[in-house]
Amino acid sequence: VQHVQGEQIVEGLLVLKGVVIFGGTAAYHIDPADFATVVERRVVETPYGPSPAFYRLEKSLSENPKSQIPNPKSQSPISNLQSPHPKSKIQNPKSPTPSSIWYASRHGEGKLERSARFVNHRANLWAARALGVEMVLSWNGVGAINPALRVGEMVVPAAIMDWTRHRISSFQEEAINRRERGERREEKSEEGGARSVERGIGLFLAEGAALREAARTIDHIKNGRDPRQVANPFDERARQVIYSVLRIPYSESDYTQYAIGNRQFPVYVCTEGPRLETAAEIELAAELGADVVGMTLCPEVWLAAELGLAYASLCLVTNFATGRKQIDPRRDFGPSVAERGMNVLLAVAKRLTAENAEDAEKKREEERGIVE
Amino acid sequence: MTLAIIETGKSQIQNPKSQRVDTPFGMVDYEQVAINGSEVCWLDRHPLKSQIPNPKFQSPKPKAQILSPVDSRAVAMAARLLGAEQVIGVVRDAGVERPVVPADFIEFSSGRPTTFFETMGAGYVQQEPPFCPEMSQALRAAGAETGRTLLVLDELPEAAERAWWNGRGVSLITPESQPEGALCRELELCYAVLVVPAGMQIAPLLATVVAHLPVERQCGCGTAVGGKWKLLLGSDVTH
Repeated sequence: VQHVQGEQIVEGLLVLKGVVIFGGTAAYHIDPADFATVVERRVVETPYGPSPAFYRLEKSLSENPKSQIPNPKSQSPISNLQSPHPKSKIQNPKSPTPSSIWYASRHGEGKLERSARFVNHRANLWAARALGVEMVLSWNGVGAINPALRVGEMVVPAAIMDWTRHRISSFQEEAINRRERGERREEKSEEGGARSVERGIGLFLAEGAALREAARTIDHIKNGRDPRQVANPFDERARQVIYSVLRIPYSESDYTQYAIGNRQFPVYVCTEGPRLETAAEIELAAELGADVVGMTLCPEVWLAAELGLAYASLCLVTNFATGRKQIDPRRDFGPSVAERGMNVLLAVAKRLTAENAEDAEKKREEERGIVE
Repeated sequence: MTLAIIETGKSQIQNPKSQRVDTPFGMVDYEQVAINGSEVCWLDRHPLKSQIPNPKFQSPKPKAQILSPVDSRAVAMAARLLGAEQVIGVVRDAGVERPVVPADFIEFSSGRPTTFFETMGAGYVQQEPPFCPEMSQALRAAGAETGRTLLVLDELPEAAERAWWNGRGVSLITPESQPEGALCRELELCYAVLVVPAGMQIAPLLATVVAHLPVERQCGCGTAVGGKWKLLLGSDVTH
């Protein structure tokens, strides 16, 4: 079986060596053992601190999983991977199985341990890469901005606006230091008037682009996607598979019902938080084309791109954003959010991974069918 | 119920008796004054760097994140420690000719700590309404205009950037008042912004405001985080 990596995934066939599912909203309410057989639990030491626990899930789900699955914690002790030196190239560890599906919760287990702002994204992504995965799938609770949405619906964002301001959005040391020293204003004066308008509102996008441009020079990133092309960090093929799992016929016209006006793709705006947005901020985001708002996806998508991991996110509408609650006043942050996210993404992950060579060949045939 | 005023620079109250309050995020200068018979704490927005952390706080140590010119956590915490429950953030130099109470705000500041809470989800404070309605009402009763949106940037914008915002109907622009306001809400303090012309004496206006402040809070500010801010303090802090 010839595996494809990095950017090739987009054009090539979707049979991946490994997929990681990052659980977002309400992930702390669920136990992965209720959804699949947990065969391994692992905490990875990274240069950015220990990762959260990663669970390797068996693809074959039993009819009544709860009754058959032993407690994962008693099954295997925590084992650590050798952590590479931060400045060394990422080692590609031997993947234990042809295809593995990993799961980790971003915000902690059992309770909300870390607000979105404080998720250690670098450790999460580094660990995912060290575990040999090629694609990141995640679910996120989002607030709806687009009035066509309803609480409980799902969207798969196709574009992102980064309004975060404090987060480390690169593995690249120099870029991080620059950001920490606050050298943003100097750049601005060099750019002059017209550019400063763009920075005034697109400042975060522009800064992200500059960071990624700098990051491109780093050795370990050369193997990843070219950061200059990360204008859209979402993997179109993965989006396609998510929509097909959701049984939404995949074509541009079929999900424009979620779009503002004639916009073709859902847009996610990532705010800094942890405070929620004001009505004026939501109005501005809507004016700029955002459909949903959250606090989680940045810098995860940028970091994944730097490491050459394909990325797709399933956004579950948990509520309406500030100032728009009259459209649908319901709020849903309960376990059902995580259950839906986990079930959909597990199905997606199963579609994207293969258990053996025969399975891979079969999937390739299927994929050809989907594409055409 | 004590009122706190947060203002940049020296207070304009005569005969000042400057004091200091220590917080884990820096020392804050303040003056205790009486306005219209009420005790008012007049705090300086910019904290002094505290060399020795106050041991009675159990809060997680401040994260070494991005170097911050202003740590608004200091002044918000100082207001709370001084026993205030109502806070007015005074903003000057925003290009107004008369006092204004903004109806909403947009924040694009960076490099400023925005929360006390890393865990528990307590930092997810609602911004609906964006400012305490009772405080805003008292400020309106004292003659301040309302209805405009306040934009908070790192610094005052350049001409082109200002024009971009003005084109969207945003003309009140300041580097101040956020995330101070959101932090006050995390401590369950009532917070409202008063935008005044540079150099205006605000003590007479505040005298009217004090007369209109509610004695008992009916707004939702007092329950914004379900009392979780108390976990930030040691048990010997009674406020």
